[in-house]
Amino acid sequence: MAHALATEWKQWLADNGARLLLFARGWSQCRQDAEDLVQEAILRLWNYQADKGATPPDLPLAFSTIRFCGLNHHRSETRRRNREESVIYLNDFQDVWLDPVLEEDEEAVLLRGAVERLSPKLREVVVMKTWGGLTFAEISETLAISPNTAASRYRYALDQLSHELRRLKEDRHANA
Amino acid sequence: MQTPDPIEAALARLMPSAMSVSGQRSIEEMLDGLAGGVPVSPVHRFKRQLIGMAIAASIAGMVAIPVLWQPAHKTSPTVATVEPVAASEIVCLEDRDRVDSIDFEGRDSAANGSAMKIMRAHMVRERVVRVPEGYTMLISEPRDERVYVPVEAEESF
Repeated sequence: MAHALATEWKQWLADNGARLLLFARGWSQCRQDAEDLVQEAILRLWNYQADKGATPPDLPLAFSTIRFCGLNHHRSETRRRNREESVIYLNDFQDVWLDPVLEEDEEAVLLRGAVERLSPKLREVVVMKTWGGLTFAEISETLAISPNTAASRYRYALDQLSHELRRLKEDRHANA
Repeated sequence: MQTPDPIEAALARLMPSAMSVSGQRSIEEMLDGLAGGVPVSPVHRFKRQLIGMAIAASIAGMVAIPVLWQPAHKTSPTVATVEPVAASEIVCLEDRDRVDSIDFEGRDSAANGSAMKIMRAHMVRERVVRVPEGYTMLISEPRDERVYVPVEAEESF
Protein backbone atom coordinates (compact mmCIF):
# COMPACT_ATOMS: atom_id res chain seq x y z
CA MET A 1 0.00 0.00 0.00
CA ALA A 2 2.72 2.43 1.07
CA HIS A 3 4.83 1.38 -1.89
CA ALA A 4 1.93 1.87 -4.31
CA LEU A 5 1.29 5.32 -2.89
CA ALA A 6 4.91 6.34 -3.23
CA THR A 7 4.95 5.00 -6.78
CA GLU A 8 1.85 6.98 -7.67
CA TRP A 9 3.37 10.21 -6.37
CA LYS A 10 6.68 9.51 -8.10
CA GLN A 11 4.86 9.04 -11.37
CA TRP A 12 3.05 12.30 -10.77
CA LEU A 13 6.40 13.94 -10.12
CA ALA A 14 7.85 12.44 -13.30
CA ASP A 15 4.89 13.78 -15.29
CA ASN A 16 4.84 17.25 -13.78
CA GLY A 17 8.26 17.87 -12.23
CA ALA A 18 9.58 19.98 -15.11
CA ARG A 19 6.59 22.31 -15.25
CA LEU A 20 6.54 22.67 -11.46
CA LEU A 21 10.24 23.46 -11.54
CA LEU A 22 9.69 26.06 -14.25
CA PHE A 23 7.02 27.74 -12.17
CA ALA A 24 9.23 27.60 -9.06
CA ARG A 25 12.04 29.31 -10.98
CA GLY A 26 10.01 32.49 -10.82
CA TRP A 27 10.39 32.43 -7.06
CA SER A 28 14.01 31.35 -6.80
CA GLN A 29 17.49 32.66 -7.38
CA CYS A 30 18.80 29.48 -8.94
CA ARG A 31 17.82 26.03 -10.07
CA GLN A 32 18.75 24.37 -6.76
CA ASP A 33 16.58 26.79 -4.81
CA ALA A 34 13.73 26.10 -7.21
CA GLU A 35 14.09 22.37 -6.66
CA ASP A 36 14.07 22.93 -2.90
CA LEU A 37 10.91 24.95 -3.34
CA VAL A 38 9.26 22.15 -5.32
CA GLN A 39 10.28 19.68 -2.64
CA GLU A 40 8.88 21.84 0.14
CA ALA A 41 5.64 22.28 -1.79
CA ILE A 42 5.32 18.53 -2.35
CA LEU A 43 5.77 17.90 1.36
CA ARG A 44 2.97 20.38 2.10
CA LEU A 45 0.82 18.84 -0.60
CA TRP A 46 1.37 15.38 0.81
CA ASN A 47 0.12 16.46 4.20
CA TYR A 48 -2.74 18.37 2.62
CA GLN A 49 -3.81 15.43 0.49
CA ALA A 50 -3.66 13.01 3.43
CA ASP A 51 -7.29 13.86 4.24
CA LYS A 52 -8.31 13.44 0.61
CA GLY A 53 -7.27 9.88 -0.05
CA ALA A 54 -3.57 10.73 -0.23
CA THR A 55 -3.71 10.92 -4.01
CA PRO A 56 -1.41 13.30 -5.88
CA PRO A 57 -2.88 16.79 -6.18
CA ASP A 58 -4.14 18.47 -9.31
CA LEU A 59 -1.86 20.98 -10.96
CA PRO A 60 -3.64 24.20 -9.94
CA LEU A 61 -3.22 23.23 -6.29
CA ALA A 62 0.42 22.34 -6.85
CA PHE A 63 1.12 25.70 -8.54
CA SER A 64 -0.73 27.47 -5.78
CA THR A 65 1.31 25.72 -3.09
CA ILE A 66 4.60 26.48 -4.83
CA ARG A 67 3.51 30.10 -5.01
CA PHE A 68 2.68 30.10 -1.31
CA CYS A 69 6.05 28.60 -0.41
CA GLY A 70 7.75 31.03 -2.79
CA LEU A 71 6.08 34.00 -1.15
CA ASN A 72 7.23 32.80 2.26
CA HIS A 73 10.77 32.44 1.03
CA HIS A 74 10.62 35.78 -0.71
CA ARG A 75 9.63 37.49 2.53
CA SER A 76 12.41 35.91 4.55
CA GLU A 77 14.86 36.45 1.70
CA THR A 78 13.95 40.13 1.51
CA ARG A 79 14.51 40.50 5.23
CA ARG A 80 17.83 38.71 4.95
CA ARG A 81 18.91 40.79 1.97
CA ASN A 82 18.10 43.96 3.80
CA ARG A 83 20.50 42.82 6.49
CA GLU A 84 23.19 41.98 3.99
CA GLU A 85 23.09 44.98 1.70
CA SER A 86 26.44 44.26 0.15
CA VAL A 87 25.37 40.97 -1.39
CA ILE A 88 25.05 41.08 -5.17
CA TYR A 89 23.34 38.26 -6.98
CA LEU A 90 24.63 37.36 -10.39
CA ASN A 91 22.77 35.27 -12.89
CA ASP A 92 24.30 32.08 -14.08
CA PHE A 93 23.97 32.45 -17.81
CA GLN A 94 24.11 28.72 -18.39
CA ASP A 95 21.32 28.20 -15.90
CA VAL A 96 18.32 28.34 -18.18
CA TRP A 97 14.68 27.89 -17.30
CA LEU A 98 13.62 26.38 -20.56
CA ASP A 99 15.46 23.54 -22.16
CA PRO A 100 17.81 24.74 -24.89
CA VAL A 101 18.47 21.24 -26.19
CA LEU A 102 15.30 20.94 -28.19
CA GLU A 103 15.28 24.43 -29.57
CA GLU A 104 18.52 26.16 -30.33
CA ASP A 105 17.40 28.38 -33.18
CA GLU A 106 17.74 32.10 -32.82
CA GLU A 107 14.08 32.76 -32.15
CA ALA A 108 13.87 30.14 -29.41
CA VAL A 109 16.92 31.50 -27.63
CA LEU A 110 15.63 35.07 -27.82
CA LEU A 111 12.18 34.02 -26.70
CA ARG A 112 13.58 32.08 -23.77
CA GLY A 113 15.35 35.20 -22.53
CA ALA A 114 12.25 37.30 -23.09
CA VAL A 115 10.13 34.93 -20.99
CA GLU A 116 12.63 35.13 -18.15
CA ARG A 117 12.53 38.92 -18.30
CA LEU A 118 8.74 39.17 -18.10
CA SER A 119 7.41 40.66 -14.89
CA PRO A 120 6.54 37.97 -12.32
CA LYS A 121 2.81 38.66 -12.62
CA LEU A 122 2.80 38.13 -16.36
CA ARG A 123 5.30 35.30 -16.35
CA GLU A 124 3.41 33.12 -13.91
CA VAL A 125 0.28 33.32 -16.04
CA VAL A 126 2.24 32.40 -19.18
CA VAL A 127 3.93 29.50 -17.42
CA MET A 128 0.69 28.11 -16.02
CA LYS A 129 -1.15 28.52 -19.33
CA THR A 130 1.54 27.40 -21.77
CA TRP A 131 3.44 24.73 -19.89
CA GLY A 132 1.00 23.91 -17.10
CA GLY A 133 -1.95 23.60 -19.47
CA LEU A 134 -4.26 25.36 -17.02
CA THR A 135 -7.43 27.14 -18.09
CA PHE A 136 -7.95 30.79 -17.25
CA ALA A 137 -10.49 29.69 -14.64
CA GLU A 138 -7.88 27.46 -12.97
CA ILE A 139 -5.24 30.18 -13.17
CA SER A 140 -7.64 32.64 -11.61
CA GLU A 141 -8.20 30.25 -8.68
CA THR A 142 -4.50 29.73 -8.22
CA LEU A 143 -3.68 33.42 -8.21
CA ALA A 144 -6.89 34.60 -6.53
CA ILE A 145 -7.70 36.90 -9.44
CA SER A 146 -10.64 37.01 -11.83
CA PRO A 147 -10.54 34.89 -15.00
CA ASN A 148 -10.70 38.09 -17.05
CA THR A 149 -7.64 39.44 -15.30
CA ALA A 150 -5.82 36.17 -15.95
CA ALA A 151 -6.74 36.33 -19.63
CA SER A 152 -5.73 39.99 -19.87
CA ARG A 153 -2.37 39.30 -18.31
CA TYR A 154 -1.82 36.46 -20.73
CA ARG A 155 -2.66 38.56 -23.77
CA TYR A 156 -0.52 41.42 -22.47
CA ALA A 157 2.38 39.04 -21.89
CA LEU A 158 2.09 37.67 -25.43
CA ASP A 159 2.08 41.20 -26.82
CA GLN A 160 5.18 42.03 -24.80
CA LEU A 161 6.93 38.88 -25.96
CA SER A 162 6.08 39.59 -29.61
CA HIS A 163 7.31 43.13 -29.32
CA GLU A 164 10.48 42.10 -27.47
CA LEU A 165 11.21 39.36 -29.95
CA ARG A 166 10.78 41.71 -32.90
CA ARG A 167 13.02 44.31 -31.30
CA LEU A 168 15.75 41.81 -30.47
CA LYS A 169 15.70 40.42 -34.00
CA GLU A 170 15.95 43.89 -35.50
CA ASP A 171 18.85 44.71 -33.19
CA ARG A 172 20.66 41.55 -34.18
CA HIS A 173 20.18 42.10 -37.85
CA ALA A 174 21.24 45.71 -37.54
CA ASN A 175 24.45 44.64 -35.84
CA ALA A 176 25.11 41.80 -38.28
CA MET B 1 -11.21 27.70 -36.29
CA GLN B 2 -9.00 30.16 -34.45
CA THR B 3 -5.44 30.41 -35.71
CA PRO B 4 -2.92 30.14 -32.89
CA ASP B 5 -0.91 33.26 -32.16
CA PRO B 6 2.57 32.86 -33.71
CA ILE B 7 4.12 33.69 -30.36
CA GLU B 8 2.05 30.96 -28.70
CA ALA B 9 3.31 28.50 -31.28
CA ALA B 10 6.87 29.62 -30.61
CA LEU B 11 6.38 29.28 -26.86
CA ALA B 12 4.97 25.79 -27.28
CA ARG B 13 8.22 24.75 -28.94
CA LEU B 14 10.19 25.52 -25.80
CA MET B 15 10.27 22.78 -23.20
CA PRO B 16 10.73 23.29 -19.45
CA SER B 17 14.08 22.05 -18.18
CA ALA B 18 13.86 18.77 -16.32
CA MET B 19 14.70 18.50 -12.65
CA SER B 20 18.25 17.54 -11.83
CA VAL B 21 18.91 13.91 -11.00
CA SER B 22 19.84 14.79 -7.42
CA GLY B 23 16.76 16.97 -7.00
CA GLN B 24 14.47 14.28 -8.35
CA ARG B 25 16.10 11.63 -6.17
CA SER B 26 15.84 13.81 -3.10
CA ILE B 27 12.09 14.25 -3.60
CA GLU B 28 11.60 10.56 -4.35
CA GLU B 29 13.43 9.62 -1.16
CA MET B 30 11.19 12.02 0.71
CA LEU B 31 8.11 10.42 -0.86
CA ASP B 32 9.35 6.96 0.15
CA GLY B 33 9.79 8.23 3.69
CA LEU B 34 6.35 9.82 3.71
CA ALA B 35 4.69 6.71 2.32
CA GLY B 36 6.46 4.62 4.93
CA GLY B 37 5.12 6.81 7.69
CA VAL B 38 8.52 8.22 8.57
CA PRO B 39 8.35 11.86 9.64
CA VAL B 40 10.36 13.91 7.18
CA SER B 41 11.00 17.53 6.52
CA PRO B 42 12.29 19.25 3.40
CA VAL B 43 15.89 18.24 3.70
CA HIS B 44 17.45 19.29 0.43
CA ARG B 45 18.77 22.60 1.68
CA PHE B 46 19.46 21.09 5.08
CA LYS B 47 21.54 18.32 3.57
CA ARG B 48 23.62 20.88 1.75
CA GLN B 49 24.25 22.67 5.03
CA LEU B 50 25.32 19.40 6.60
CA ILE B 51 27.65 18.61 3.74
CA GLY B 52 29.01 22.14 3.89
CA MET B 53 29.60 21.79 7.60
CA ALA B 54 31.32 18.47 7.10
CA ILE B 55 33.58 19.89 4.41
CA ALA B 56 34.33 22.98 6.48
CA ALA B 57 35.11 20.87 9.52
CA SER B 58 37.27 18.60 7.42
CA ILE B 59 39.26 21.49 5.99
CA ALA B 60 39.66 22.97 9.46
CA GLY B 61 40.84 19.62 10.71
CA MET B 62 43.32 19.23 7.87
CA VAL B 63 44.78 22.65 8.57
CA ALA B 64 44.87 22.38 12.34
CA ILE B 65 45.91 18.81 12.86
CA PRO B 66 49.21 17.58 11.51
CA VAL B 67 48.74 14.40 9.59
CA LEU B 68 49.73 11.53 11.82
CA TRP B 69 49.96 9.13 9.04
CA GLN B 70 51.48 5.79 9.72
CA PRO B 71 52.55 3.22 7.21
CA ALA B 72 49.70 0.82 7.09
CA HIS B 73 48.18 -1.99 5.24
CA LYS B 74 44.80 -1.79 3.56
CA THR B 75 41.87 -0.63 5.63
CA SER B 76 43.33 0.40 8.91
CA PRO B 77 40.69 2.42 10.69
CA THR B 78 41.69 5.10 13.13
CA VAL B 79 38.63 5.92 15.16
CA ALA B 80 38.35 8.99 17.32
CA THR B 81 35.22 9.37 19.35
CA VAL B 82 34.52 12.93 20.32
CA GLU B 83 32.31 14.44 22.94
CA PRO B 84 28.94 15.50 21.59
CA VAL B 85 29.23 19.13 20.56
CA ALA B 86 26.17 21.12 19.65
CA ALA B 87 26.55 22.94 16.32
CA SER B 88 23.42 24.72 15.15
CA GLU B 89 21.23 22.05 16.75
CA ILE B 90 23.19 19.30 15.04
CA VAL B 91 25.08 17.11 17.48
CA CYS B 92 28.24 15.39 16.36
CA LEU B 93 28.34 11.98 18.04
CA GLU B 94 31.42 10.57 16.41
CA ASP B 95 34.19 11.74 14.13
CA ARG B 96 36.53 9.21 12.63
CA ASP B 97 39.16 9.07 9.96
CA ARG B 98 40.14 5.84 8.29
CA VAL B 99 42.56 4.78 5.62
CA ASP B 100 40.64 2.91 2.97
CA SER B 101 43.60 1.89 0.85
CA ILE B 102 47.10 2.92 -0.13
CA ASP B 103 48.48 2.89 -3.67
CA PHE B 104 51.95 3.42 -4.99
CA GLU B 105 51.93 6.42 -7.30
CA GLY B 106 55.50 6.95 -8.33
CA ARG B 107 58.89 8.27 -7.34
CA ASP B 108 60.26 11.76 -6.97
CA SER B 109 63.24 13.49 -5.52
CA ALA B 110 63.19 15.84 -2.57
CA ALA B 111 64.78 19.29 -2.52
CA ASN B 112 67.99 17.84 -1.10
CA GLY B 113 68.15 15.31 -3.90
CA SER B 114 67.20 12.26 -1.88
CA ALA B 115 64.84 9.79 -3.53
CA MET B 116 61.24 9.79 -2.36
CA LYS B 117 58.47 7.37 -2.93
CA ILE B 118 55.01 8.84 -3.56
CA MET B 119 52.09 7.01 -2.03
CA ARG B 120 48.44 7.94 -2.46
CA ALA B 121 46.26 7.19 0.53
CA HIS B 122 42.52 7.00 0.01
CA MET B 123 41.12 8.35 3.25
CA VAL B 124 37.54 8.50 4.41
CA ARG B 125 36.31 10.87 7.07
CA GLU B 126 33.08 9.75 8.67
CA ARG B 127 30.95 11.81 11.01
CA VAL B 128 27.94 10.50 12.85
CA VAL B 129 25.59 13.37 13.63
CA ARG B 130 22.22 13.60 15.27
CA VAL B 131 19.85 16.07 13.61
CA PRO B 132 17.12 17.98 15.46
CA GLU B 133 14.45 15.61 14.13
CA GLY B 134 16.13 12.82 16.09
CA TYR B 135 17.72 10.92 13.21
CA THR B 136 21.28 9.78 13.24
CA MET B 137 23.09 10.42 9.99
CA LEU B 138 26.43 9.23 8.70
CA ILE B 139 28.34 11.77 6.63
CA SER B 140 31.03 10.06 4.63
CA GLU B 141 33.67 12.20 2.99
CA PRO B 142 36.30 10.38 0.93
CA ARG B 143 39.50 12.16 0.01
CA ASP B 144 42.94 11.38 -1.33
CA GLU B 145 46.18 12.33 0.36
CA ARG B 146 49.59 12.17 -1.23
CA VAL B 147 52.39 11.08 1.06
CA TYR B 148 56.11 11.32 0.33
CA VAL B 149 58.16 8.61 1.94
CA PRO B 150 61.98 8.46 1.89
CA VAL B 151 63.11 5.47 -0.09
CA GLU B 152 65.06 4.22 2.97
CA ALA B 153 61.73 3.73 4.67
CA GLU B 154 60.43 1.78 1.72
CA GLU B 155 60.93 -1.53 3.37
CA SER B 156 58.42 -0.69 6.08
CA PHE B 157 55.72 -0.62 3.41
